[in-house]
Amino acid sequence: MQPDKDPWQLERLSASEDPELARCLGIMKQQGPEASQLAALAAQLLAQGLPVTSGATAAPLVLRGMASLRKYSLLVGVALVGLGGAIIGLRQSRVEHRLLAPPAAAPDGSHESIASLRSSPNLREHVSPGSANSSAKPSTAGIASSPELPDATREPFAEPTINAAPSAGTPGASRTPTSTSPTRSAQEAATGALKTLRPSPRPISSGPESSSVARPSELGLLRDARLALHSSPAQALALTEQHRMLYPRGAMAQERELIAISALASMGRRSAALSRVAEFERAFPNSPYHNQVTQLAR
Amino acid sequence: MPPFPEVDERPAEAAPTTAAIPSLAQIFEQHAPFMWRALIGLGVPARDAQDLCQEIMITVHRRLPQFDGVSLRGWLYGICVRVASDYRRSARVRREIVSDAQPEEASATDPADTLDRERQVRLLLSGLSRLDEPKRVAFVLFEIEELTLAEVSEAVGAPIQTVYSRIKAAREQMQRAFRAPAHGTPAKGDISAAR
Repeated sequence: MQPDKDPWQLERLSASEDPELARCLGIMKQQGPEASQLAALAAQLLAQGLPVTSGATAAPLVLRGMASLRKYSLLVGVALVGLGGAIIGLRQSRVEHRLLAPPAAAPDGSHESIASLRSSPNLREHVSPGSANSSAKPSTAGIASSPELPDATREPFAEPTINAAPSAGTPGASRTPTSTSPTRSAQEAATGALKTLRPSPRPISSGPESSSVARPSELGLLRDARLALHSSPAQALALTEQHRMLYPRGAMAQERELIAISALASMGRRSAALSRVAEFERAFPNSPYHNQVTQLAR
Repeated sequence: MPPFPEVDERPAEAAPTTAAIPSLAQIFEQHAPFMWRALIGLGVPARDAQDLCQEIMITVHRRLPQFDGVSLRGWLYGICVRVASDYRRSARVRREIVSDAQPEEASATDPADTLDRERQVRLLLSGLSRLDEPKRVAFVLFEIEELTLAEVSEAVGAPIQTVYSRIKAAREQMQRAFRAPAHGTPAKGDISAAR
């Protein structure tokens, strides 16, 4: 570890400095999620209307180098097929369709299927291709999308602040060169399959402090609200209110407001919906949901 | 009560774009596995990594229009660091992390090599858990995620020289921990020492 000409340049820890630590670091660099876990994550994100897959996207170099992730595209494809199949027979209210449509038009229209599926209580069966695999492990892969679980059994969710990300315009950005690790892809290719960190087999939080576990998670509340939107807009609205009380600075305030506005519109409370739309646009002037909210207000 | 009493989201400024902003799909495909791993290194139990990755991607989706196109990895890992930090600060989660730090029982079907690798990972995580958070973040991003100093600086919002010092200090502390005779035994309170 010797600084080069630039006084603020460091070389990474080498095996000659500390063989065991370097070995542990090397092993850690080979860790990562299993393909099925990534696919389940992709399916969850797709179900939320986030366009995380694209047929036009070139196969990423990183994934090409990860042998264990070769199944990734296939698994996501299977998830999408499942989503597409599940749309048959499901009815969507216009409001919900608007709510769940992706912010940007999907080239393959897959989001329409996803939007329809979101109201299905069996979502996980369709969107989680890795569910069979993950069922053998106490992974959280499907917990967030498993409506049959009571809230108390779900994972707790942190309450991040909305401005969690560093500002894109931070002073540090200007002196930050665009760079990638030259060894990264080659290293991944050489080391082969990523292996997941084995989740703890211990059951989740059972103990004297179980009362705090009863607090529903952000994801759980909003999922329930979304599921209730079609059958009981009033209940959906109540759930969004509960979310607002529990997570006033929650990371999903925008999603909550979308559901609340949809519920108000479904209940015929147009003026309340319009008022809330105005609040939304004031609070989130650059929201990716802007178009959806605008449509709801019409 | 207004719907957004405490939300502090500033309007995005029109940032000068210096490079093409990638799509969310590209970010997911190229960075999600690494952010997942980084979460583990930053003290998130494996069982919660997927939920937090989901949260990261939602944040990325929402804030992508504000990305200035300069340092994508620094920007992404900044989100990752903040999400992990918020997670660790949750009192309820903190208790669970402590319980998660207990050694896991090995599956009888695991080959010896797998067990050895898992042991090495546990050793590393145990050592990381003894670092304070700023050092841990800097060390993980630099040594495991292989970000440049500038990218780490961007991710943590600290000057490069500060990041440099944190990495050096963390490295020395980790080396000392690995030389200690009993460093291979993760204790129940490992994580608490990292807070």
